[in-house]
Amino acid sequence: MVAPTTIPLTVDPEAAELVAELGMQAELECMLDQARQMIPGLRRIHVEFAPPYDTGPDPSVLIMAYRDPSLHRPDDQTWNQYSRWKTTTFSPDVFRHFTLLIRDDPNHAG
Amino acid sequence: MPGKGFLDVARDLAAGLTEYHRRAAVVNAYYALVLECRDALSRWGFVMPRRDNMHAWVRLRFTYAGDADLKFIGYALDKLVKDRNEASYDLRSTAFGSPAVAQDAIRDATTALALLDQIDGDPVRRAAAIAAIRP
Repeated sequence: MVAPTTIPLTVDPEAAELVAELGMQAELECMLDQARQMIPGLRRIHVEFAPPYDTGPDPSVLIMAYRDPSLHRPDDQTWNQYSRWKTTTFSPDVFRHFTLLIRDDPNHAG
Repeated sequence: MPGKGFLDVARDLAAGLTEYHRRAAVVNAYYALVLECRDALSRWGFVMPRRDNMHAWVRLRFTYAGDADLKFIGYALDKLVKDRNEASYDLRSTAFGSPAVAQDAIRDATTALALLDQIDGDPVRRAAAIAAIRP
């Protein structure tokens, strides 16, 4: 599949600051490219800062991928395929700082 | 008391009418899985360092195991923990306006728990799984 280059991307300033602090801009770009290639019906991507709360020691970066809701399938394996790619591409030290979530995008026309 | 009992609570909550119910369903689906995974690691002889964060320690043991089924469970944990944080803390999120996220969370937790049960109930698979986990 050819990666669409016109998928809108927005990055929260706090997320950009964390990525710069971690020195993981190249890793983020790689994950964004992979998301563009792997997620059918992808409409937009928003990168946001995720506080650690009580479930992890560090803040992290959330890659929120919004797709056409008509493509929502209960048995969709896209997320697992993406995770498999991520664990084979990056070390745990990179992995733990980034998470992709795929959400339906009902508020934006396709 | 098995952690997986929280999955029944999650299913009850997902049938509720409000966003509060759907958020609570996601929270309980996550805890059903992470507590079972934590207890499995303990049964299998892995000891969490006292100062580590339980959620991250469990998640990374599964995600970076050298076994495809354990990785699959780790991926579910990685997804569900973010859903759980969003459900518990981000009250501005609109993700829980419909039942979709709660239903996905319950489905993911159910599938991962069934896989964990299969591994734990089969001595050969369990031994292979234990050997595949980084301490």
